Formats: sequence, C-alpha cells, structure tokens
Amino acid sequence: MRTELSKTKKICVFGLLGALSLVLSVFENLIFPSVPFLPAGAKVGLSNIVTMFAGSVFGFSGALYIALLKALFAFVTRGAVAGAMSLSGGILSVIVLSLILMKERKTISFIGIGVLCAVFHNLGQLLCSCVLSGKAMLGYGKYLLLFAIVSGSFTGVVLNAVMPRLINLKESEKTEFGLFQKTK
Amino acid sequence: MSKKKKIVLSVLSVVIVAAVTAAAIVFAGYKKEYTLKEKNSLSMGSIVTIKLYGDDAFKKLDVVKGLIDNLDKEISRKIDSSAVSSLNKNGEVKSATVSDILLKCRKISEMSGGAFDLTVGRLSSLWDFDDDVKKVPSEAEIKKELSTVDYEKIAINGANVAIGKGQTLDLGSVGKGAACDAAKAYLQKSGVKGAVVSVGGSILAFGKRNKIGDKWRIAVRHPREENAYIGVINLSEGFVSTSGDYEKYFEKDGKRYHHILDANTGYPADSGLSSVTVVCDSGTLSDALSTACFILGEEKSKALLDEYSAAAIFIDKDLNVSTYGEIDFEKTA
Amino acid sequence: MKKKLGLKKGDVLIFSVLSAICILLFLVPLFTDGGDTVATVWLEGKKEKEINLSTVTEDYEIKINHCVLSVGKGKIGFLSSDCPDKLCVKSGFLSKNGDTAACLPNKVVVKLENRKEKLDAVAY
Repeated sequence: MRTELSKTKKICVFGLLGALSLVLSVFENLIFPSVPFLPAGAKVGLSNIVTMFAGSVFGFSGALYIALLKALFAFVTRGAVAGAMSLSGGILSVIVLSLILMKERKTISFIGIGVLCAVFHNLGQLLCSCVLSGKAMLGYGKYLLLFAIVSGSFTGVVLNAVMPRLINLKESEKTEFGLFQKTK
Repeated sequence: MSKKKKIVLSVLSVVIVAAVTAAAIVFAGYKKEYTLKEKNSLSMGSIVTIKLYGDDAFKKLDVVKGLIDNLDKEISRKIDSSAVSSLNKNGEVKSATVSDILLKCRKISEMSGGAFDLTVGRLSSLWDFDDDVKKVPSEAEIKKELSTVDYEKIAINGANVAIGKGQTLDLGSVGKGAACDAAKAYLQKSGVKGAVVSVGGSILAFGKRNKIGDKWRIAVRHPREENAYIGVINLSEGFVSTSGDYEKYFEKDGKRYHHILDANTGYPADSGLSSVTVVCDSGTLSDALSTACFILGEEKSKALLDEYSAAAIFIDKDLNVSTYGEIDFEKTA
Repeated sequence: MKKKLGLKKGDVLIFSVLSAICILLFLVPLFTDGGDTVATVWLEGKKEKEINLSTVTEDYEIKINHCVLSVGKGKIGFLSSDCPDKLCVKSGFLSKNGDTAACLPNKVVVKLENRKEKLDAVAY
C-alpha cells in the first residue's frame, strides 16, 4: 500500500510521525521508568505503532527514518548506551518489518506484525547489551520476550483499529485528512 | 483458506501451546530435587558428611551417624575396647562385624598375592604416619615386622576370628567403606529416597535425588593440588573409594613415603600411581580394591577389578588419567 | 471478538509459538533448582567474581568498577553506582536462579545461577 506524496507533504508527514514517535517514547518512559526486570534502556515499545505505520505506508525507508530518529533522540537525551540500544533494536525491527510487509498480508494483521517487530526490537537490544556487557545479559531474554509479546500485541491491536481510518479504503483520491492518496 | 481451516489452525496452535506448557511443568516437577537434610561431623578420625534426600526427619541423620560411630567402636585399633583391639591383644575375638569384613577381603588378599593384607598392623605402626616424626624405618626393623604379616593365618569360624601369634589386624584401609555399607543397609529400610554419605572420602551414593533419578556427582580429588578436582564421576548408585599417596605421607631426602604399604615388601607401594579411585557395589570392597589396585598398579589390577565387576580411575605420577571398566567420568579440563 | 480485534490466523500462530517459547524460558529455572545459588559478577564481559550466596554468613559489600554491591545470605544487589540512570540499583535484590541485574555504563553484570556442577561429595 505504497503512497506517493509531494516532497513537502512528505517532510510534513515525517515531521509529524517523528514527533509522534518521540512523544510516545517519552510517554512510555514516564509510565514505565524502568521495569525492574529489564536491562537499562530496554523499552516497552509504544512508539512501535508509528514505526509500523511508517513501514506500511512508506516502506523500508520510512520505517528506517523513524527508527533512526528515535535512536538519535535516545542518544541525545539519555546517553550513548541508550542510543546504541535503541539503534540496534530499531534497525533489526525495521528489517524484519519490511520483510513481512513485502509479503501478502492476508493471513496476518498488525497484531502478528506488532509482536514480531517488538520481539526483534528487544532481541536487537538484548544483543547490543551483550556486546556491551557480556553474555550474562542473556538472562534478561525471557523477560524481554514476554514484554515484547504483550506490547507488540497491544500496539498491533491499536494499529488494527486505527489504520483503516487513516487510509481510506474507498477508491478515492483524497482521504478526509487530505494527506494520503491511494495509488491503484 | 476456508473459515473452518482457520478455526482449526487457531485451535491447534493453542492446543500445542497448552500441551508444551503442561509438559514443561510436569517435567519440571520430576526434576525438582527432594528436600535435603545434611549433617557434618567427625567419626573414625575423619570428616563425615551425611546428606539425606526426601521428606525425612533429622532423626535419620543421627541414626546414620550412630551407625558409623558404633562401627568405629567395634573395629578401631585405637579404641581399647574394640573387637579389633581385643583380637590384637588376645589373638581371638567373637565379632560378626569383623568376621564379615575379613571374609569379604580374603579373596582380594589372595588375588593380589598378599600385597593387600589386613594383618599389616605392626608394619603400619612401625612407619607411623600419624605423628610428625619423619623416620624411615631400617631394613631390619621392616623385615622383623613384615614377618608377622600373613593373611593366611586369619582363621574364621562363623563370628569367631583368630589370628596368629604376634599378628596385628588393622582394618584402617577398609573401615570407612564398611561404615558406608552399614549406612546403606539402614537406608534401604529407612524410607529415605536418596542419600550421599561420605566417611573420610569413602563415598556411598544411594537412591535418587529427584523423581527421574538424575545421577550423583562425585568429584575425585586432585592428587597434587589441594582444593582442586581431577574430574567428576556421574553415578546412579554405588560406592566410591580413593587411595592416594597424598593422604598421609612425609618426604625425606626428596622421596615421598606414603601410608599405602605393600604388604609383601613392607615399603610404601611404588607402582607409578598417585591415586586410584574404585567404584563398586560394596563399600568394604571398594576400599579394599582401591588399596589393592594402588599397590598392584594399573595392569595387574584389571583381573581383580573384573572379579568384582568394579571400575577404576588410575592417575599416574605424571597426572595421566586412565579409566578401566564402565564408569561415567568427566575429567576436568 | 476476533473480528473486532482484526485477529487473523497468522497472528494466532505467531502469538502461540512465541508464547510457548517464552513459557519454556520461564520454566527452565525449575529444572535446574536444587543446587547452590551462585552469583557471578562479570566486568566487561569477563568473570570477575563468583560468590556462593548459600554459604554467606554475614552481609558485606564489594566494589566493582564504580558500583557497590551488597552481598547477603542468598541475595545480592546493587547498592550504589555512579551511572546516570541508576537502573542497576533500582533492580533491587536478586535471589533466584536466573535473576540478573546490570549496570551497563560500568559494564557490570550480576547473574544468579544454580551451580550445575554442584558436587555431592568428594572422594579422596
């Protein structure tokens, strides 16, 4: 479901999406400042909603942009360690996201996609923490997996509900927001 | 895919998850160890560790300890009122315990050509490894005491035991294993699910530590490094005994004199080994065999081990390790 | 319910499989319980210290890099650290097999495990 937009519109949209993802990031850090079971910097993943959205509408590059933005934000606000964690989780998650989205999506909704993205995001973070602090970090794996399944399902449900309203499924050129245009 | 197939697939995946979870929980239950009660104390001149597995009262720990103490009182040379002391003083004694041990060990003495001999008491006293004096007895002294060493002079008639004039019985090399035998006899009737008893390094591994019976892990002391292990034996049930040149010894003029005496020569055994560990289904025998095999050396031990279906780990003076017989031994890297 | 969530069979499959893996991972400690709880402290990926928590008699503290760990009978935790987040300290005390706490900036990781090498006896 690729969409073609003019350049300016694209900048605006990405600006909005980027901001949205950061807001969600900050928001989730407020509510879950540090779940005791998770390693430093591991996140619950609410901003994944934005990443998935960007990925389905704008493809790999779109999702990648969001992930890089998040990583940069983490680096600037919370330090190199957090930045590295965000980057590794984000990149792995985006790669997997793009792979899934390339395939036919009749059998899988955003719930499945959300869970997989979250799992691979956390996996990336886990691998990063192992690189930083050694194999012993693997002990966190089960908690990260658990949280990924839960948060991924949640973000998936949200996006399932929201997506149809963002992308008008009728054969018309403009949606109610006037932003997106369907091609073919 | 049809709606029906959709439902089937969903149900199937949920069922698989449920099954896997249930299986995991059940398996975890089987693997969970029985509760452990442990007691450390002293007996027979060494450290005794008793570990009992199962929902049992502390009382059973004391029973096992009591059995070991009682055996000590019966067979220790150092206790004046023991049956063995009586035997050594009077030349005869009535003791089912002593007679039992002697009967078990006789064949080992025969098959080792007398290298393993329980009448080695006077020789042991002469060398005396328990005090701090580093004295190597003279050849004449050794010859004199050696003349009293002769297992063939032991006469057994039921519980009546008699030895030759001037002989001294020393059950030190098999006493701890015999204590393990006594422990096992009790444990079999006690309702205890599993146990590990260590009497001065002679081990009894009994029963199971959890429902599926994971093996016991018995480490073998490194012959030269005090707090290190040379390997670990994985054992379901059995007795483990080790004889080594590092337990009691002194060094003089660059030579090590250890306490495992060759009853034929009168001198510490010199077969190139630093330690032998034997695994067997009897404590008395595993003790006796480990001593005998240490004296005989690896090659000559094989027939003896086969006779008792025992397995062994031989460690030579260069710390090369070889095993004989069926044994699950993990050498530490 | 399914229709409202937009749940599809692929989702169920993914969810089920990952959940099964997750459950298994959580149940692993049950298999390996029964030994001594040993805390391993890693510094920069290398084993720095091994403490058998079951044999600790008195509480004491140890300093690793810029972190201070508190060691007690059957438990260990980060007492203080010079890192910005203090997530390590917030992890509280570790006491069960598998529990982990780490201070990433200081590269200190503490992990509890059941000594599988637990020996039942030593033959000597």
